[in-house]
Amino acid sequence: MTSRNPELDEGAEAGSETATEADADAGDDAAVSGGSGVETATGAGPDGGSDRGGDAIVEVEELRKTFGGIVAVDGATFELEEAKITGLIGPNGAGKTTTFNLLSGFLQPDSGEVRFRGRSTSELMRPSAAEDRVWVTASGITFGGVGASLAGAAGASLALLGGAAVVGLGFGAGLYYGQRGVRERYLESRPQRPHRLAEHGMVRTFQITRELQEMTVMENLMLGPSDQRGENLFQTWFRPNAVAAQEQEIRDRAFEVLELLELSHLTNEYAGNLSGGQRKLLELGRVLMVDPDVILLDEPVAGVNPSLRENLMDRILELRDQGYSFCIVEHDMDVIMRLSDTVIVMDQGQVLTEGSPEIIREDERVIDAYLGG
Amino acid sequence: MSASGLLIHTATFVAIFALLALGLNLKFGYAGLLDFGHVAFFLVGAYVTALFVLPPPDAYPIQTYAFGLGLPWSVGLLAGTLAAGLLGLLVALPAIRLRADYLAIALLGVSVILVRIVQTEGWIANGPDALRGYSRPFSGLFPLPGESGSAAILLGLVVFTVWAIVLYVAAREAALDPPASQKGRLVHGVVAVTTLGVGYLAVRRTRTILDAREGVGVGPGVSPTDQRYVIGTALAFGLVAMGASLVGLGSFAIFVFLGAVSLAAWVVAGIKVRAHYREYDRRAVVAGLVGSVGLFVALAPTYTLGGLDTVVGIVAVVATFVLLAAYFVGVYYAFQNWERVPVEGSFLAVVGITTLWLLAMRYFVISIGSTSPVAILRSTRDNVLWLVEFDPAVGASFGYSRFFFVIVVGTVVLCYFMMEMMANSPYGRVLRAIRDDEDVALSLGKNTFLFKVQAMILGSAVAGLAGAYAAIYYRSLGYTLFHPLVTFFVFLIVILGGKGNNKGVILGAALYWIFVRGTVELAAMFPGGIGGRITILRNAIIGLLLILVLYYRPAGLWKEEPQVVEVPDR
Amino acid sequence: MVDTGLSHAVLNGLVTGSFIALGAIGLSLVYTIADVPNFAHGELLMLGAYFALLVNLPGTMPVISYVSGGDQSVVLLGAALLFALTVGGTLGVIYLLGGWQSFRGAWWPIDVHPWVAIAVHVGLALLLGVYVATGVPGMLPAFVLSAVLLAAIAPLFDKYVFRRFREAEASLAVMLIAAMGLAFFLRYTAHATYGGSVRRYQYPRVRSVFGQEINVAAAKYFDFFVVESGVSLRITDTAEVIGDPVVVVLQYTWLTFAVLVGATALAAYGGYRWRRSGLGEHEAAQTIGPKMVGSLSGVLVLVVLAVVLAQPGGNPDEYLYATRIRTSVMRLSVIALAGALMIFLHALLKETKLGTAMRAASDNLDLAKATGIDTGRVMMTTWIIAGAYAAVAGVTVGMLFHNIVPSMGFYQLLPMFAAVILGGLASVYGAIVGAYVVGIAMEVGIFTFGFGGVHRVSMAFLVLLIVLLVRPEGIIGR
Repeated sequence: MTSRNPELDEGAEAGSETATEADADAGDDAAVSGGSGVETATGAGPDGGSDRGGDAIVEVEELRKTFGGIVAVDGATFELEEAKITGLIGPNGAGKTTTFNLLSGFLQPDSGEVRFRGRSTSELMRPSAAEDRVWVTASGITFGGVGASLAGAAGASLALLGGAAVVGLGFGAGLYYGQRGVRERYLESRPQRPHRLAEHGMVRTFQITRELQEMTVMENLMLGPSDQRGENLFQTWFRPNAVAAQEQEIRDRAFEVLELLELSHLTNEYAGNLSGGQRKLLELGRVLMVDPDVILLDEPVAGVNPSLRENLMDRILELRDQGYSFCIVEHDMDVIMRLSDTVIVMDQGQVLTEGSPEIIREDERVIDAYLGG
Repeated sequence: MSASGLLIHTATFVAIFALLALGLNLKFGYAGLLDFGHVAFFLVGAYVTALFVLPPPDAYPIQTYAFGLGLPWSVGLLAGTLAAGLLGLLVALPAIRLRADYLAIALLGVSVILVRIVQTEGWIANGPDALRGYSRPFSGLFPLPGESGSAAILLGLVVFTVWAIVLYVAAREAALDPPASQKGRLVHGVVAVTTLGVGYLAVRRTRTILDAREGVGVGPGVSPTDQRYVIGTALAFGLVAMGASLVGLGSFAIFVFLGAVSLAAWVVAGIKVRAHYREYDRRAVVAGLVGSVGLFVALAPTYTLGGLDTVVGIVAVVATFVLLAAYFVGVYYAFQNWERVPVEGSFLAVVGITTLWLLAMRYFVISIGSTSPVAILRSTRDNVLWLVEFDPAVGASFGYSRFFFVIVVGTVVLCYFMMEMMANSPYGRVLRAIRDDEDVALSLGKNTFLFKVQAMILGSAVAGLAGAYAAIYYRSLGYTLFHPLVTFFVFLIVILGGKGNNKGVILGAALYWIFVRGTVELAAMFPGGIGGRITILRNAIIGLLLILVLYYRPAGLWKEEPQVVEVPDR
Repeated sequence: MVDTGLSHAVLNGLVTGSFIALGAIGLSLVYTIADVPNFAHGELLMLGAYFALLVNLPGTMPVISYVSGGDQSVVLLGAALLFALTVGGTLGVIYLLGGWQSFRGAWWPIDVHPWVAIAVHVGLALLLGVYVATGVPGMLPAFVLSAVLLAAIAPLFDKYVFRRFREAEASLAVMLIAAMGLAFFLRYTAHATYGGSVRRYQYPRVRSVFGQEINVAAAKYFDFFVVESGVSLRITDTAEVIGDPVVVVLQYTWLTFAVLVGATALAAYGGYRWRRSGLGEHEAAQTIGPKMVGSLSGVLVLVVLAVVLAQPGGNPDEYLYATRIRTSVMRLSVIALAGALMIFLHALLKETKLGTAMRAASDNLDLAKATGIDTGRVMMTTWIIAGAYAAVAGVTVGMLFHNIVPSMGFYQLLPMFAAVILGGLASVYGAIVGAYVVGIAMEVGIFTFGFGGVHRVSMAFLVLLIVLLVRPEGIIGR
């Protein structure tokens, strides 16, 4: 599997790969936010990932989340290192899945933040200024139109008509800002743009496999890549040949992934008909099709039969060596110990300890937490 | 109304509702958006179109309406479509984030409010009375053939449209039969004769494409017919017809081109039906025939004598009810013991064959209504050459209802192709992903909000276009035509036909209107009181059908087809 | 002449809210416990209104008209038919609670000898039967028959339609469409059976209430005047055509008025505090909670003081402000009826084992099943309550609007749904609050904008849309 796009890794976003071990101590922020003052590691393609790493690609700071008085995550602070596998373990109710949802933007933290390549994820997910302008214009025009037509219906003069339109315009714009303010300040709502994180290169899977049952395995995979031409209806209708060409490319890549995951014989099977383990593989494959930098796996081997499990773990290690960064939540200790470079132990919403698998295995507090929980 | 006139009348309704259902299918079938207010967009399309083409209100003092721009119909249609799409956008922006049931009730609310506004605010569109007074497009030129150049152009357009559609389907369907087999040769021959020879070439070309494509994955695109070839031929025929009309041979051109295409349509329909029931043996066909004749026999007493206001009439009605009860008990018994019935295939398939027999007999046999040989011949000619009207004075002619039918069907076909391209494209893939599990689509970086809003706009615009055509067809618009419950008839069409399958949706529209037509004719056979109840009970049966289809066949009659990819050998 | 104003609209809203609440209770119970977004609930109201006609106007209804003597009376066979319907309905309801076992008292909170239970059940059925059969054409027997029949019919929807979909793990969308299909079926079957013409109940307008003959349907005017010396209330009865229509004029000086308001507020707050103290976190577990005690004591003090402090006075000629509430005994009794039924439901939910089971099931059906609750019985109870309450709501709507048509259900459904969504689907109480919000919004809305009555439903929706815009999960929210 060598289809990683080298341009993406050497692009502006990928400043992190320039840092060396020594810089990591000097300060992650500087190294991550654009790589200023640090030499670019020459020719370090994604395949050379094994000799770098150690930089934080995702930083979690003082994350807190409560659900109706119950504290799920309580000031968790940790980092995910680039091109490493970080295991996240803890007893039931330790807040692992909530942390995952916070990381991937599916939940909004009460306080604290997650930084991806030095940029806060809440900032990444915020509507852009352009998007805001579109909304303001839309609501302004709507209310302006309503105002003008009401004035027109009432038989107002031309000047009044214009006045009504302007007032409506202002009212609409104000209404947009108002409802956004109310929503942000007083209401707890789910962030609306978790997809932005995936576009920036951080993709998650789900604890209970959520394959798209009514689509075939092939379609599941082909869904992955971002910014497909054919997702634009104009292109679909009026430039079918260009769309078809790109579809062919994506299909070829999907075949590669299928072969890698040894699912080729299931290409045209409905995903709903797959076994639990095959679904887990499919989910991994779908994430690979997006080609992200960070992959968040929620219990990737739960319910997978032993031979497939070995297979899956080998794949993950291979991918790590190719330069992908992983964060894995898993209940199975053996799996976590074998895969992880670093293990983070959570208990009652906080980070209990972290370290290499060998250290964690011996840690008294971890054993207590599991027995106590 | 003659049988072919009735066919055109019903088929136009089918086409308008097919458009409406295609719009809902995009929202509900592909994107999973539960739009319980679909009729609102139908309404907006209809009224906006009407207001755009109406003359200014002061020119029409007997009714009140907000404005009349007196614009041409093309602008009106466009305005209706755009207005519905815009309303779709405005409704979608706030509502699209709601969970399924809230979205449904909110959109239902929008449709209720809109209908109420049209009903009470008389200054907008003459509510609560009907809005009328707009002339139908080109209606002055009919019946064709006319002497003017515009009439010739219209005739050319009609010939082009009809030939393009029929040739396209013929080329595709017939090509599926390998030319080597005896059946294949027969099919190709019949197609060749009825399409004035060109069908043969079209079929051969398509066959070549099919052979060349063997083993290659099917990309986005619709079907492997040689489109240029089909369009070219149709264009040539259209031009010839136009020329003929200009030199005064219009009647002859209508007879040749539209008569031939009527025949070809029957042939193509036959091929399609045969292909669909390929696996069933002769017994199933006979069983269908028996079933349909049985139904006619059961209805015979009231059909012949039911109108009489005497004891005989009452006895006839009662006898019909007894016979009908016996018939349906028999059908139910057969359904229960299906494995013991010596017929291949499923019960549903035999019901389908029965329906086809029923339709065929109603169309070709029952409609004759006379025993004189001349009348039989004339009626059969009218029925077979359904696109042509025969006027003793002019000869073959082409009336407005047929013209409008062709226009709407042309639009449906165009819309169908665009929907199919959409469904098979990455865009459609994202929509289906959202329908299955929106969180997955989000986690893969798809801006699901944007996709859903687009689906809302597009689906609503199509519904608006359907409304615009409805405005032309109904000739007067009343708020009762857009009752909020109409949405659920469209839901039945989509669910019955098969959600997420555009072909199925068109089939659903046809079945719905056949059912409506059937109950109307059934009601007409009975005395007033009973007849009125039958038409009301129709809607009760529709409700029951919705439940039964959802429970026993949730994917609909025509399931969504998976996209199959050829796995390359490596 | 005094004009009606905002206060009139609010009181109207309370009346509207009351029958919406009766419908919304059932809708919300079914929504949370049986997981059915029941679009057919409006049709239950419609059926309820029609069933009441069997008692009120048997001569105009199909089948039973053959055994009726005139429009409003029945011959012996007709009485027997009504008797059979009522007895059958009652026994059917008991059967639905858990098969033949429930006749032996299996659903009773106490253990009794099976024969006692059977005797009570059969006795109850016979009693209701005799009451309905002899009560033609009274409205109360009509209420009873309608409620009994729908209580027996509504659970069948679940048994034959929705349970199957639930077991097939159908999605919410499928449930919605199936419910809509059922609504179509009910509405048009009723249409074909009863015809589409407008029907209305016929009942005597003059009733004897506490020994006084009062025209229940005629409007009473409650005019409030603000004069320089204080506040006065004038009650006018439009039914008194002969003589002076003014019943009474009550005057309050500013001082007594202040006392009235102050004492009411104090009593309400005091009652609340008294009940609240020492309850701690368990407020919600109380049948008669602090809020209820507070409001009851407030109302009590208000009524008593209003009578005690009033001074008779004449018609005020000059006033600073005046407003009129136009209402009738019947409209006010709708509020009372709804209140009584709500209190009954409240007691049922809080005091009985069945109620506890229902609340548990609405929180989490699977968990309830796991803890040994008979979820089948809970489900049936839910539908029985939904049916009976919908029937009462339907008859009420029929009495208020004199407009019984097959399409009435669909338009009643919309405000009920709005109420349930406003209540956030969390509980019946949310739905009740939502119903009054919607009811008041409808009436105040059409009053403020000067719309005609056609736009009542539109107003309900406008409220709903605005709420959903700001808070997509409903007010109280999950």
